[in-house]
Amino acid sequence: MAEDSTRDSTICRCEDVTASAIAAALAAGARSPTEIKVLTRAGMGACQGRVCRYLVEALVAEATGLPPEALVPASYRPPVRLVRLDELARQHGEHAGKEG
Amino acid sequence: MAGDDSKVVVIGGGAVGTACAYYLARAGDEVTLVERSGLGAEASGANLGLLLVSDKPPGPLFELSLESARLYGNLAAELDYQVQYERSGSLLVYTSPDAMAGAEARAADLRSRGLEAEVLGRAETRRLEPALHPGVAGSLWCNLDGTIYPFALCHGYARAALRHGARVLTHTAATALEAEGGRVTAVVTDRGRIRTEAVVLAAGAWSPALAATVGVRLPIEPSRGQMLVTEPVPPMVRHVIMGHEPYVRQSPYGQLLIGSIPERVGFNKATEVPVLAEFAAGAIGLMPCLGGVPVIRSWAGLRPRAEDQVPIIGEAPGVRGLFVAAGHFRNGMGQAPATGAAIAELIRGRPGYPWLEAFDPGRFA
Ligand SMILES: Cc1cc2nc3c(=O)[nH]c(=O)nc-3n(C[C@H](O)[C@H](O)[C@H](O)COP(=O)(O)OP(=O)(O)OC[C@H]3O[C@@H](n4cnc5c(N)ncnc54)[C@H](O)[C@@H]3O)c2cc1C
Repeated sequence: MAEDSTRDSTICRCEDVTASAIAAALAAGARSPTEIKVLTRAGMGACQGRVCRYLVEALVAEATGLPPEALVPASYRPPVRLVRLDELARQHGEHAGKEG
Repeated sequence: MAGDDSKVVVIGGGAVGTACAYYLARAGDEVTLVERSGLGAEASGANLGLLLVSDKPPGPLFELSLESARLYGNLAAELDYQVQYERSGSLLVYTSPDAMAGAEARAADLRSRGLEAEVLGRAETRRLEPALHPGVAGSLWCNLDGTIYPFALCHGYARAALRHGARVLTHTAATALEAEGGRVTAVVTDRGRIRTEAVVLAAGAWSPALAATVGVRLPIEPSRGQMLVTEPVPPMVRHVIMGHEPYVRQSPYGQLLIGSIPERVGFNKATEVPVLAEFAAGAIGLMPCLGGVPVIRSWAGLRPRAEDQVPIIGEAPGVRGLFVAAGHFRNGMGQAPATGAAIAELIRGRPGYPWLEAFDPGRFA
């Protein structure tokens, strides 16, 4: 049935989270995108929810009966751009230098 | 609904509050937990998840961590929840032969306290942790340190408390306590007033404001900690690595978690590039191969730091029935289970732990 195929569909590709995992979290009482995120890891991967956040919000909206605009969005907090540890470490040197 | 009565109200859904709710409910008490946001919304969801026993000197802090490690050992089965506890063991890393001078004595001390500990040379250390800097002089291995997935701990405790009949009210904030004739009588929340015989104040760094509503002074202040998280990398850090700041831990999902130092900046959860850059440099100094790993995220959390850096666990002076469980500073994850178990004993009037006295809130009076 259509319902079964959507349940197995992947919502968050980075962390491999399916719609049924999110449904289980909603059934356990999660009511906000942030709670879904920490329970299922949806949105915690490399893209930091850029791809899945709208899908997660839609599922939460459906389960809670609230419009998506009314939900507090999950905290997606990537660095402004992906930065390597050694690039970041160099800023330490620069900062220390400036302080002299 | 928040308007109903309860025997005990726990305020705060972090590691400490959820642990208290679970051990109380398991002992048969009628418990209501109130949390102003979701479970693990503050420090208990922002930390590294290290459970350190071997870094504590002999005494009450060690006992609290040791008893917690004992409770962690069976916790996943007991809660029927994957809290992701790993007793991975730790390596206290020495960067110079001079620094290793005290290692054997330290190992003997840990063994005399019932832990397994062994001094390892450079080759053995690098065999166990190949990513470590080749210049590392050696290490001290200890068996009992481990890690946890912090959110899973809070949710595991809360769900098991629910099964034992507790009520868990998330998105419900306590706004004041009420007392009459020197006894606590109610918790006022933004969704109604709950009359109660006892309160467990486990609101982390936010505990003092609530204590003040019944005239109790709690010397706890926020201590910021920042963290960096990288993209997942193949398994490369197996033990808890100690003796070096920042800590570098690998999560079961492969991401590296890097942090953190205490910063006294009030209730400010901003992250700051200079501090994160220092962490990045420190992590590369410990493990040079990390340089190319991309960072995906950073955040900060607020630890509850008691004035004397010792947790505050026990009945508040002057207000019968008000129990404090807060102020665990850098060790709240490692000490939440025994804190919860001790609070459950205290409220039932049978304080069974000899070390509990050291945490008494009366010490500030
Ligand atoms: C970056 C960082 C790294 C750390 N690393 C480690 C580590 O590796 N190992 C370790 O053991 N510890 C670590 N810690 C410390 C640890 O996180 C804390 O000691 C621990 O989480 C404290 O737990 P808590 O339940 O007392 O407080 P919190 O987790 O802060 O919980 C308090 C709860 O109370 C709620 N609350 C507040 N006010 C109210 C109110 N008025 N009504 C209702 N609810 C309210 C909050 O929303 C919050 O959920 C770290 C901390 C940080 C910040």
